Amino acid sequence: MNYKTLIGLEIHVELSTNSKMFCGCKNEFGSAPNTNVCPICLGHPGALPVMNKKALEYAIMAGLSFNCNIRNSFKMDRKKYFYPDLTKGYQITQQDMPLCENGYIEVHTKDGIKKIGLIRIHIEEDTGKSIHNEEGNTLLDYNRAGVPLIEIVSEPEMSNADEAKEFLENLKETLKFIGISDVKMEQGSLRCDVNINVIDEDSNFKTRITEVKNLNSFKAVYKAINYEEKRHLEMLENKDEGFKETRRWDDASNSTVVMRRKEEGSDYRFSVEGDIPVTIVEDEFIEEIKNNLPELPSQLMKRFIKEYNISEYDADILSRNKYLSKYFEIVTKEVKDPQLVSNWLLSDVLRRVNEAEIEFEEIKMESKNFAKLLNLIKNKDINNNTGKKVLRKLFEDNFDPEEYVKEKGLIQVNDDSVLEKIVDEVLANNQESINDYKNGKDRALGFLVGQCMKASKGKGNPQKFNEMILKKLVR
Amino acid sequence: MNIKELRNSFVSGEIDLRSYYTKLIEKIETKKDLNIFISFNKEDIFRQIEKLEEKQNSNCGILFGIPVTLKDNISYDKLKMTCGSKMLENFEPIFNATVVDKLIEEDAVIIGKVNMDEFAMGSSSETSYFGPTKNPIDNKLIPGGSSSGSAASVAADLAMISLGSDSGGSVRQPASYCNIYGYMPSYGTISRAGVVSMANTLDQIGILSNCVEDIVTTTNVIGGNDSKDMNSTLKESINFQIEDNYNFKNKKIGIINLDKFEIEEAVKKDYELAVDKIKSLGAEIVELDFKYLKYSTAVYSVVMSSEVSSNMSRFDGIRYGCLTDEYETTDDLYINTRSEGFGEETKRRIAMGTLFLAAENNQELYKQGQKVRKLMSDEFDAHFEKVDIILTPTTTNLPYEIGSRTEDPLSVYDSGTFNVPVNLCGLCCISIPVRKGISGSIQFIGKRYEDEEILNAAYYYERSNN
Ligand SMILES: [Zn+2]
Repeated sequence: MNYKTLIGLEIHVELSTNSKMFCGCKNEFGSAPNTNVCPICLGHPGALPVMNKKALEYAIMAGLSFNCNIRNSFKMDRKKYFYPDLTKGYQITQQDMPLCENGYIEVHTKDGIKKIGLIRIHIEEDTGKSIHNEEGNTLLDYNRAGVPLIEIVSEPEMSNADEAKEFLENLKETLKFIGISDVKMEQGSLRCDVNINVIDEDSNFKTRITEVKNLNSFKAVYKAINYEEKRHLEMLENKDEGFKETRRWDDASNSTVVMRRKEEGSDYRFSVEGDIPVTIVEDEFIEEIKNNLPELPSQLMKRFIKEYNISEYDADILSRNKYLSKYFEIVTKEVKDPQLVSNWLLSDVLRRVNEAEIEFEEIKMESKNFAKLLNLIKNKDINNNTGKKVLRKLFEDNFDPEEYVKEKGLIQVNDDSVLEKIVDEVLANNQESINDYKNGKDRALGFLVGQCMKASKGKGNPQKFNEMILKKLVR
Repeated sequence: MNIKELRNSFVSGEIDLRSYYTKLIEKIETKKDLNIFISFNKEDIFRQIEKLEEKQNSNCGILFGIPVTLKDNISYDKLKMTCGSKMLENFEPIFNATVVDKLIEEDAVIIGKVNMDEFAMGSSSETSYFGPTKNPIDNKLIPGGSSSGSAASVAADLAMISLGSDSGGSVRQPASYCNIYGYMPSYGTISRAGVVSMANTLDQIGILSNCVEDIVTTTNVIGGNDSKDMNSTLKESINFQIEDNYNFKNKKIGIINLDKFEIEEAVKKDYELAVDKIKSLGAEIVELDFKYLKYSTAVYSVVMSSEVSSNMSRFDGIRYGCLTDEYETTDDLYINTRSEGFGEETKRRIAMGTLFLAAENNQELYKQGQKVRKLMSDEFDAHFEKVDIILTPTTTNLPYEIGSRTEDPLSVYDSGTFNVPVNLCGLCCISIPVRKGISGSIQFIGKRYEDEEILNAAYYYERSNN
């Protein structure tokens, strides 16, 4: 059977404006329940919404970053349903005139770069939060009610979990780059729904779309897609089109669970939000936002390759994270050896970041100290090994490495007469290794250098040791 | 006495504030049977008086000491805001409507919250949870609605001005029934912030009073831009001027042929009387042909009830207002709360609106309604190319007896044929009595934002009529 999997994503992103979408309440995660509320976001009678211009600007930034067309005039709509989270009995959103349309996000596949289309990005307000406690009561927190959101809807153009994962990563990094959201899935500022079905390309028979809602980690998205893909394929084999249904990912059972089946979609009875007049978005306004957009990852990557002559692989990783890319550029300016900086950042530093389970922006090691360390290495004031040891400490405590290596006496010994003395001593004591080397065992050379390093307490210049030994042991 | 005269008497000390209000409160007590007030608090009134007494000799505001009543869908944080409903029977708002802040800023005295049809739905005050208001001119009759208490409080001389809300004649029709003046400005002239929405693209704050001059004075105080209402005018403040030289010479007044409409004889006569008068004052009368006017109540019904259905959604019993005792599931909570808390008319309109907005028939009527609304608006624009003002009767009938039409709720809808289009098209309008007593009124309709024109015309007509 020749089949194809169709995956579309719907992503809700909370915008990190200072205040909410339609009122002056603080937009802040983690405040005590119901402390960031006012008559407007609580939907008190008589309270009217007033649009937050910053939220509009942020949404346009997202649209531009994802190559969308921005609408020059838009209206807001009311989407009606009853839910205790919802203070007005309707959510202010955009139904048929989304602010941004027809964009795309690029993902790398084994067949090269693939453009995943974006149908729309629209603005809306978030709802409050219901907390169901153990006694069976529902508690309501309206701090989140009215927080600005954008909803990003992709075309169903991803064909496997890897593409979806890359799409999401790209999306997340870009949003972080332009600084309009903190994109923290665990705090709900980035939420993802997956739409998935499969189609038999020979017979055109397809399964009905399943929506997996409220996935709260990339891992869950990945697993849910793989699980659903398998489930749909089984249905496809049985010529069972299944139900149009909504499911959720259950971590405990490692499977998706049905939430509800919707044979007929729910009727939100959309109508125009007359309290917000039609808003004109001037071209100049869009242009200004465009000009103020930071360099995006894809642009950065191209520039890094050109400007610093580093590999595409390195440039790709460096450009994915806003803070990492900035750090790289600052340090490179001091060290003037992009490849050295990149090597150290991508191997030793990133490994420590991962081990510490922190985000790159949280590292304590200041760029100026890291640059000093790399310059010590570059100028052969310390050797690589010492460098790695110092880095380990520097990463933890952030100090001035120049003073540190002086204080600890770690400066590399480059004085030939001192080094030669050590070499002679080591050779005198290791006749066996000398024989091995002469018999063609190259490893013996490494051993001898190691012995020299040991004798110099790690401070000898390994390069020079190597050269001296070689000179004395002509085969 | 008008606002200026009364204010000056207070400022000069010619009339003592405290004794004026002591007498006013007595008068309110004696007219209790008219059922005008929902919330009335003597202590609050005297607190306001005390504040005014303190500043009597310094900066007295434009409305210094002027007694004002508020329709009970306008937020004033010292009194309950019931909207004439059981749903909000005990609801105390926590902020002032912008108009209230502006009134207080100019030293008006808020004397109370007055009766209205439930959530401003109705045209007789009979849908009020607190019982109907009686017409001060003849207490067997309805005072009109939904701003019934507003009109009655002015007609009964218990307030000099009253703020009402008008979504399809709710200020002008009661003004007409109670034989006073009712003005509805162009959409956005007066902020709606703090006014409970009925149909938000139609709702406007209107002013009821005994003369045009008081309406102008009040509009200049409460009008203007408000950052809390995105639909409010961009003009920082309103400063309408009454021109003493205004007259009807060189003015073109559009009228309509009433033969096409079902309309009470007395109302027709009064309309003709007014037209003749205006003609004799030198205006050129132009008969206009309206293609879409006859659909106005139908279009209004669709637009209004669709908006009602969403505006009423927030009353779910969860955060404020009435909450049912009987529920097991969340759905029960909503259904029972709303079944118990809303009256029949409100439910009827929510049900209609829900139907109009349902996706099932692709929202056919809602969309059609919006289309005809636009056509109607274009038609008015076209007419305003030819005339300065359009003159219509305010209502199609005179007030009927309280309780006489409760069996046939739909029959009362049609009285709005002439005032509904003004809201649908965002125009401005003022209703003026033709004769003293129970009689027909006429309305001057003006182009959007050309309020000054109709106010001056009304002022001129008022003077010539007296
Ligand atoms: Zn708020």
